[in-house]
Order: sequence, then C-alpha cells, then structure tokens
Amino acid sequence: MAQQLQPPPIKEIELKTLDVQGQLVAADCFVVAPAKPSFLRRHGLLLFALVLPLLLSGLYLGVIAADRYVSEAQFVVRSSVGLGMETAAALLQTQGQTRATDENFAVSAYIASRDALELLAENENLRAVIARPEGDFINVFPNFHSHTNKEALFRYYKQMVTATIDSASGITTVEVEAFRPEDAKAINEALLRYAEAFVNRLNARAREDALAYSNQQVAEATAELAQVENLFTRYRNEVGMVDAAKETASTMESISRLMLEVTKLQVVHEQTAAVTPQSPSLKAVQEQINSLRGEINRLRGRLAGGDNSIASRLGEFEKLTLQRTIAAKRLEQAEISRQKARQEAEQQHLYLQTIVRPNLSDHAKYPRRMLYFLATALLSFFLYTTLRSVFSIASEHVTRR
Amino acid sequence: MKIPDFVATFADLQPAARIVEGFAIQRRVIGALMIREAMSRFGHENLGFFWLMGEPLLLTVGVMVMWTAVGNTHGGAVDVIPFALSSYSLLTLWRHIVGRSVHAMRQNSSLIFHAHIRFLDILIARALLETIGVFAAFLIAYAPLALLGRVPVIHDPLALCGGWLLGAWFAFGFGLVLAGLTELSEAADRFVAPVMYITLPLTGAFYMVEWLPTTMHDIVLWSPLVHAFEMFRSGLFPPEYGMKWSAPYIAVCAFVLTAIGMPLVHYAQTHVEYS
Repeated sequence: MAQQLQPPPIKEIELKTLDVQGQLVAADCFVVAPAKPSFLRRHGLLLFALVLPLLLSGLYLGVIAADRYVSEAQFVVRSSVGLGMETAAALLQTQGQTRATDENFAVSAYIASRDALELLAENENLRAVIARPEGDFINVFPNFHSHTNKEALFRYYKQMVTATIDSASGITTVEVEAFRPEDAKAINEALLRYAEAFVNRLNARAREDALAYSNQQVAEATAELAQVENLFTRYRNEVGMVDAAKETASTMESISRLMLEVTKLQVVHEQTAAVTPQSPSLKAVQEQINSLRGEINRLRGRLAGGDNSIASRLGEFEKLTLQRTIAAKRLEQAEISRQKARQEAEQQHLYLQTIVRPNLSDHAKYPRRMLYFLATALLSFFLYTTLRSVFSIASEHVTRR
Repeated sequence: MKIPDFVATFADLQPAARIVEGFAIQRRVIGALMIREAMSRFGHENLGFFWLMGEPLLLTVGVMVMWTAVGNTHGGAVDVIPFALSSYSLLTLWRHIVGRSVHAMRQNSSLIFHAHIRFLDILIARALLETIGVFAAFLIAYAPLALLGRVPVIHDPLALCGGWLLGAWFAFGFGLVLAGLTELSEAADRFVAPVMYITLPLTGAFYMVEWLPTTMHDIVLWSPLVHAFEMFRSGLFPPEYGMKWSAPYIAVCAFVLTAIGMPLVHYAQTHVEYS
C-alpha cells in the first residue's frame, strides 16, 4: 500500500529557448514578421565593396590588360679633362676622366623632354607604336578619354619613358615601355642616339665659345700693340730722333773722343811751350783746343739741360718703350692661350658612354598582375570592413531610442 | 493598422533607410558633442572658447621666438619663422588628435547613457574640433606675420588645406586604432607615449626632405606624415624649395589605418570599462 503513496516519478522536460527575440508587445497589437529583404539588400555592401572590385580587377588583369615590355639601357656622361692643364687641380685629379654631373642631369632632362618626343614622333613613328592593336583600351594612346593633342601625348610619353640618375654612381637608366619588345628596344636605341647628338651639340657649343673668347683676346692685343707702335712713330717724327738711348750713347762717345783729343793737344801745347816758348804753332794748338772744348760743351748741352736736350726726351721714349713691351707680351700671352684653348677644345669634350645597350625583353614586366590584384583585394577588403563598421555604428543611433 | 516603430527592430538587418536616418542623427550628435567638448574643456571663463586656438598659438609662437633667438637656421634656405610656423602647427594637430584618442572611450563612457551617442561620435567630434581649432590657430599666427612680411604669402591654398586635411585624416585613423587598442589592452597604453616620442623624427616636422642627403629621401618618404608636412609646406612656400609629396600616398595610408581602426572601435565598444 505504501508503495502506492509514492509520488509519481518526475517527468523530465526539455528546456528550450524561444525562437523569437524578446520584445514586450502591447496586448492589442501583433507582430508582423518583416518581409525578407532582397538579396541585394542583405549582401549589397559585400557585393559592391568587395566582390565587384575583385571581379573587375580580375577581369581586367586576367583578360583585358595587354602585356607591356620594358627595354632598359644605361649610360654615363663623361668628360675627358685636357692634358694641357697644369694646375694643382689637374694634378690632384689622378684620372684623366671625370663624371660630368651637370651634363648627366641635362641629358636625362632632354630624354624626358618634348624635343625628344618630337624627334621620336617624326623618325620612329611613335604614334603608331603606342596605338598598337594588341594594346588594351586603357593603356593605348589615344584611349577612350584622352585627347589626341601634343600635350596629352607628352603626358603619356612621360609615363612611357623614364630616365633616372643614380646619384651615387652617376649612371642614368633609361626605361622604355611598349606593347612589343622590339618597339621598346627601337625607341630606346633612338633615344640613346638623340642623347648622343645632344651631347655632341653641347661639345660644339662649348668649343665655339672657348675659341671665340681667345680669338677676341688675340685681336684686342694686336690692336693695342699697333696703337702703341703708331704713337711711337709719331713721336719719333715729332722730335726727329729714332732712339734716345742710342743717341745718348753716341753723343757720350763723341764727347769722350773729343776729351781725349783735347788732352793730347794740351800735352803738345805744354811741351812746345816749355821747349820753344816763341813757337808760332802754340797759338794754332791753343785755338784747336778751344774749338774742341766748345764742341764738347755743345754736345754736353745737347745731352742734358735745356728743352731740346736728349735727357728731357728720354723719359717719353722710355714710357713708350715700356708700353710697347707690355703690349707685345700681352699679344704673346693671348696667342699662347689661344693655342691652349684650341688644344683643350680638341681634347676635353663630353661623351656619352653606353654601359648597357637596350635589351630586347622576352618577359612582360607590366602589368604586375599578382601584385595589383593583391593590392585591390586588400584595399577592397578594407573598404568593406570600414563601410560595414560605419553603417552599423550609424544604424545603432536609430536602434536605441 | 499602424505598425509600431519597434517592429522594424526585429530584423537583424540594416535597411538603407535606417542607415540614412542614423547618419542624420550622428551628424547632429557630432555637432553637439563638438560644442560640449569645447565648452567642457575651456568653459566660459576669461577667453573661453578662444583657448582652443590659443593653446596651439602659444606653443607655435613660443617655439618661433625661441628658435629665432637661438639663431637656429636648420641649415636650409627657408627662414626660421615660416618653418617653425608650418612645423609646429601640423605637429600640434598630430599630437593633439592622437593624444586625445587614447582612452577617449573610457573617459566618456558616462555619455553612453544617452542612447544616441556612440563612441565613434566622440572620437570624430574630438578630431574635427582639433582640426578646425589648430588650423584657426595657424591662420591667426599666419595673418600678422604675413602682413609684417616675415612669412611668405600662401602659395597654393589647395595644397595647404589638402595637406592639412590629409594629415588630420591620417592622425584620426591612427587615433582610432589607439582608441580601440587602449580599451582592449592595458599594456597598449604604456607604449603610446614612448612610441609617439621616438617616431617624432619620422613626422618631418624638423626637416625638409630636400635638406637630407639623396639616399635618405627614399627612406623618409615611406612615412605618410612626411608627405603631409611637405604637402602643407608646398602650400605655404613657393615651389623652389623643392617639396616632395604624394597626396594619394597619404590618402591610402590614412584609409588603411581608418579601415583597421573602425572595426577595432566597433569591437571595443563592448569592452569599455565603465568608471
């Protein structure tokens, strides 16, 4: 009996959570299950921010994008220093050749210039090269949105050709990009030719300038010398004297000769006077001595003293002689430096030394498909996460009211 | 029969209409937060709101006077005064935005009591306030100096404003990451100050790229902040000083930081320690 009083065993019940989210609803209102939003509504963000960019970039990089080949060349602009330089700087430079830094920049600027572009368009048929049928619609020129004028072509050209200088080694690297490897090579070779011609023009110009300067120096010195000679001649005619110094010397000689004569006559006179004081020749000798003394005095007077004396003209002669010497020296110097300039212009010139000839590429360097695709994937993933966070934070403003 | 508003909340989805409405609310919230931030920081006492500009102005002018007195020419052709002005304005912006992002969520957790306010709003409001305030400070310092002829006339306003805004965006993105990280990890907080100090040379505030050896150019130009400084300076200085920058590079870097920071902040919202 006691067994019948036992309570019935507790039946285990299953505990379940409700499927619906807890919301207290007023009794007189009922919940309408919202219509299931469309697929686009639910996954629109994912589609537009992540899937679409990936598909587009995959389509472009995988199917549409044309291969672009790069031809690379390297050169350096060198200048050989003339052997005629005997300065300390030349002695310090152990090498006969130096790197021409300024000219390096000039040449790389020229390669990326409108001038080079114009030459390429004329001689290498550039417009056909960049509009090859194998090019894709974005990378050809003209493409769907660009103009066909020269300015747009130049912008395209700057992307197609790059010249970079390595500042440590001074080597310039020229890279040309084209749809066909042989096109890239041909254009690169043409560019190297133009660069060489440009360097030669620089040389010719420098040579002309150097020679023109020294020629002018020589002409100036010659004119100056001629002018001094002219002055000299005019002065000689004016004073009736060829050379004051020689004139002086000859006068002095005459004087000393006359003095000797006088001394001799004096001796004769004294002897005669002592032996035969009444000799009639005494008077004649005395007369001779007197006239010789008069001559000596006259010559002395010509040498110095008075306005017409040689000494007063000697100064002017010396001045003119000095001027003539200076002018002659200057002409000589100018002539030497002209010789030197000519020699240097022959020896010292720039030349473009090609280190690496343009290569014929057998591998399309661009587009870098994997890299571009990964970059697109990463950025579009970031775009997706950002937008999702921004949108959900924005909508959180509404939910909590 | 009218369906009550909350019915829409049943769906765990974000229909476009709600996002648009959310943005409208967010815009108003950010505006209000900016005013609140300015008021709570500066109040109505003495100069009040002006201190927003006054603080960076004092720093910039102080440094300019100091550098001029010391005769620090920084080795370049640029005058000390315009260089200090450009450097310290943008550096102040960078330091303020980043500095005010650290623990920004924890400090303002009480605001979350208001249902409309989200943590992101606080961060955006603070960054916007700094961007506007420090730029105003720059202009206030610039105007008299330009009139006295000590600073060149702005060469390119677009590059100036663009450099400023891109720099601010980058700082904001960095701030977002820091705001998220410092809430998630206590240790992150300890690293902020040393890292900010050590990376100071990478900001480009104390040099121009042109002054460095050519081999250094490629290295320092990895830093987006250097680009921002150069862009800002290229707006102020004439182009012969040779500024080097790329706006897309700053934008991509700032975007990547924002993309990392935004979900981080979204995630960290639920991990804020309420004080």
